[in-house]
Amino acid sequence: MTTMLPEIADRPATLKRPPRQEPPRPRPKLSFSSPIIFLMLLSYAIVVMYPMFWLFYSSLKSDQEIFLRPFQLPPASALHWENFSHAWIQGNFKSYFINSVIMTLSTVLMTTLLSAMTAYALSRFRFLGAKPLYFYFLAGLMIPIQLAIVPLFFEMKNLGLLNSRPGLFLVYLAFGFPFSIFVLTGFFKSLPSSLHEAALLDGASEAQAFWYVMLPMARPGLITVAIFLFLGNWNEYFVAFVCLSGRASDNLRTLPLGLAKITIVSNYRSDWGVAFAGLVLMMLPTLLAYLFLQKHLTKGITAGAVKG
Amino acid sequence: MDWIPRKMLIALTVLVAVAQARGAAPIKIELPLFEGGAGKAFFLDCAREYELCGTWDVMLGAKAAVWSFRDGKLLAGDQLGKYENVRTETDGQRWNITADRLVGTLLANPESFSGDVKISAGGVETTQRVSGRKRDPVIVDMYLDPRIEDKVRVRILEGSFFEITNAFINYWPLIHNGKVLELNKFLDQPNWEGDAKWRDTFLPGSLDVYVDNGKIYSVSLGYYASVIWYNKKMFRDHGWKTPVTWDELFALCEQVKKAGIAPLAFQGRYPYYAAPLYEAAFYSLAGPKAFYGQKKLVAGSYSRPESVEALRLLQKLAVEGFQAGALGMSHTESQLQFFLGNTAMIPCGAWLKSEMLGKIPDGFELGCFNLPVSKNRIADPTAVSVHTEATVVMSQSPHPEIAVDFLRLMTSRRMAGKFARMQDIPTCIRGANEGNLSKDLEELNQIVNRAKTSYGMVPGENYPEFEQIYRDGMYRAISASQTPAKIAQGLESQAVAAKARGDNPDQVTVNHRWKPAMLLTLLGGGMLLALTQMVRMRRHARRKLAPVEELQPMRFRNVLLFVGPAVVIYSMFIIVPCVRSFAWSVHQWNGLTNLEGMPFKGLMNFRRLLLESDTFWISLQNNLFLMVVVPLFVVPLALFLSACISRGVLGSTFFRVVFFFPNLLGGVAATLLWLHVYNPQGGLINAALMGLGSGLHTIGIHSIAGYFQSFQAYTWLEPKNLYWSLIPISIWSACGFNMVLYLAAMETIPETYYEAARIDGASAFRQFWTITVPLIWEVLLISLVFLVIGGMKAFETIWLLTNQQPQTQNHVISTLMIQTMFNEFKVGEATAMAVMLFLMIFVGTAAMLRGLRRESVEM
Repeated sequence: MTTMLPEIADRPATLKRPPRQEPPRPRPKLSFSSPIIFLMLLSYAIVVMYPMFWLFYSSLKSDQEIFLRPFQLPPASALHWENFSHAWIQGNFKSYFINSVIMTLSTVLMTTLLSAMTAYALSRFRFLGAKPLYFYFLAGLMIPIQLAIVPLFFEMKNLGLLNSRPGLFLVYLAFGFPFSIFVLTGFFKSLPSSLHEAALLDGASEAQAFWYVMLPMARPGLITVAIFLFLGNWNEYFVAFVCLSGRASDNLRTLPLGLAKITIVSNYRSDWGVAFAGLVLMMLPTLLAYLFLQKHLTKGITAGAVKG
Repeated sequence: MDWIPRKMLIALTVLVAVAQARGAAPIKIELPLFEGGAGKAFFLDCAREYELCGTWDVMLGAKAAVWSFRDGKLLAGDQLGKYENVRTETDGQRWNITADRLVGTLLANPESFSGDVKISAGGVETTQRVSGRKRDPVIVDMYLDPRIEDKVRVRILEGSFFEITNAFINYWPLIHNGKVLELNKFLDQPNWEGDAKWRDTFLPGSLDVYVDNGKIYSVSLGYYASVIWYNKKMFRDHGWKTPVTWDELFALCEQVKKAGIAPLAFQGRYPYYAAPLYEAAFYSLAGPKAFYGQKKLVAGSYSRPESVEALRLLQKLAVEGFQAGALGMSHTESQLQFFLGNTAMIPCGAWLKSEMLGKIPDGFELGCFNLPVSKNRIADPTAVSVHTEATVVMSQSPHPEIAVDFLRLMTSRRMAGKFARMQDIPTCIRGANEGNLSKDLEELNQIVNRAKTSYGMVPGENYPEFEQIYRDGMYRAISASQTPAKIAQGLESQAVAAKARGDNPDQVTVNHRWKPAMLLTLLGGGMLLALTQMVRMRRHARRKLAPVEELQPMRFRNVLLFVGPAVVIYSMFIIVPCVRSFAWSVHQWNGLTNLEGMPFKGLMNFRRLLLESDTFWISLQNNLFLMVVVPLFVVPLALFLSACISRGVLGSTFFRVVFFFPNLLGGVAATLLWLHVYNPQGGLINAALMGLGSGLHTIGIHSIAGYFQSFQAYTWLEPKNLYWSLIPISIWSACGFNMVLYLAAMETIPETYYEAARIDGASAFRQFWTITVPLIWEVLLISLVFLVIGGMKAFETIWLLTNQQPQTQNHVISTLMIQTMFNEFKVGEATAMAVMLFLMIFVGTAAMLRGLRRESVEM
């Protein structure tokens, strides 16, 4: 069974338009004055990349060097690696980092799983209220988090979930559903139904059919959803700011909160180097994820948006 | 009653405590405090000393004894006697105790200690092993943070109260709701030392921060006089004299400029630092009565000639005296400029040195002079402008009385003196400053001692809403964006409005008619469009979703299993709060009282926002800017980039990867990165422009070079530039995403279309316009919807670029909402904003999808 997965997966299943028979086009080169275009693109690429490059090398400079000679590369003999250790230990980035990892991984896994279950039921079965339920979730795409945040705060307070990991976990879960259910329902619908039906005929329960047949087939869709959830939750600030501001959450803060804090604190203490190092620490996982999963990512955007 | 000896009281309390609480759990008091500069060490010292104070059962070797610590003395039982001048130093785990005839290091916590002490008695020194257990231990749980107010506000709304805080928040709503302990009873009791009434130990004015009809709600420690600091050595070398009047100050600025030095550094990102200058001018021109009248928003106090003149003086000083780029500098940045010798003076409060400790070059000589007075003054010229911070006790915390006792220790002469010595800041406590301040503070101390009166603090509740207006006025003055008369007019009319609002909270004055009418019409129209769209979509869906394959039924048990968890969580944490938002938006609630009792106010919150509030409309305009202007830049550029890449260019994969990356960083990281890039002093952009300028100079193109160099220290993020500066940020972070979208769509266009066009002789541009754009129209539309929604929801970029304190002119709806809820505790109004935001997003999106939809080209 596993051998047939790739072909299924590679079908541009989520695209509305039927796959074309013609082979990938050989693009005409030099359709308009190519060197000029190339140079323009290159200069824009430099503009895009330089600030990040600058951030990376500035994080190895002392405050004075950052302030007085912003452009200069740090001398190789005097790299201030201690900025990183300061950020990690004194700046408490160790705890921010671990919290972010725990929060992001757990919410990504859980949201993907629960959305896949919901999407499976919505796309493969009929039951009373299935369609309204789909729109019920879809409505969430239109809801800005701002609408919920004020009552949410008091609700969490009453439930004792404020300043706690489970509290933030549940909110992230809830806010991940509309998008993931939307994408995954579309994805499940596009999968061929024969395998699933065969499994059910062979006596597999719905849960088994889901776990052993549908989930493996839906892997590309799951990965796409997971990446988007990862990016969203790793960088999330607004909810975390509101839910993790109390005393009890001192050890629960995530990277965006920690980073915002260290930048504000550096206004009081002028620890630019440490703030820069912290920023680098936050960007690294995203950068790595991007480098490894770049293909899935662009494919996911295409699938999500072109479908419309 | 007042003069029951303090010791007796203590003994009594101790007796009672011992009787009741033998072996009871230690009492814990919690203190979230503001940490600015180097104050941390002092407050931790206070905490540890307070924990040490009291009675300990001690084992000295095998002998039992009783020790008691108090007032910096250690009274030891048995043969040990009395040790004076006890000093304790601590790192949290160890107490180093030194006293006359006794030295020791104890491993300690608030409940017990153990360690070795060296005792010298009669010339003989012995080392003794000691261990002790406190009879009624108090744990002082203290934590400090520069943004402690964020935590404190949340805690207050949470309803979980701590004992003491000195966070900078507006305590009046809390006072009116009985959340802050009234201190008069305690102030009439003896002070820590027991030699005076506690109230009488404070310098005049320092208990005036929160006073309501004679009821005092706060005490203070630092005595923050506002002055102008100067570089003493620089003044000596150039032979400059410190000025007394404004004219002398202006003349001095000219002299300083002639010497090639910027006269004044200024903390321009916080325009509030200009308030003492304005107030000094107004006070000296109009006198104390007018000054207090102004704070009470008496009609005519801002438009009167003295106020216009004071604004003129402030503006003149800003224009002629402030360092280039001052308006974009934070307090530490500008203060560093002063200490690096780039400017001669800086206006600042008494905390200047303390805040900059560690950054001050060796040998820097600090001096200060009082804020300038006017030639035709009517007020006392020695008057000093003083602000003190409020330290309050929360009445609903578990142990308010112990908290008060802690404050007594903190404001004792000995501890206050320690504060003065450690921080180099004068304190509010009589007799605590003498001999404890350094030479740098000498002149400040003289100013304070010479002063016959003080101003700055005004008893009673003022109008908290006016604070932001006042701050905006200060910004307009120093940025010279309006004439003094105009600013004064603006302040006056807003003062009248704020006063009316404050005096009759339920009355809504109508300031806006056309804008709300227009918005409501648009919303109504959009709603109609949305509805027709929905009907259409349903019809469309019915047509399209004609069952291709018959779906199997699912058993209810399995439905619960598969769908249940998501439905429950989603409903609980999104749908229910959203519905509540609608319900709350027609109520008035401050988050502090009981939820059930909140009064129903109908549409008042909405009327207030739409008809009265200027800030709401300003915020909406800012949202509009983000919704319209940003896509205008982002969409064409993304389209251009994707067209280039899709038509085949060397390295297209590389470009695709690179352009997309910034989009992934997320709002916080991207914003903070750009915060550094835009920094006026060490930032990338100004450095690049300077470099370009000097490059052009060397090849002789001076005019353009001069233009580039005029950006030296340019403040990209000051309020009036902020939104334009957001455009590069949005291009940088949003272009790639949209480009990838367009690219994906373009790749589905069959190549044959282009071939046909080429055969017909269509230019590349024409091909793009007639083939590409129509065929990706839907995707274009979707990306536009994303961008517009993003502009509506914008929060963290603005929030972080403005240091979490946006000026009125920089607010967007989300930031305004958060501020309304957490700073002003107006929950009803905040939810009303959220509802407006939702309606606009909902209707806007639906209408855009409906209204802009062209028949997409079928292939």
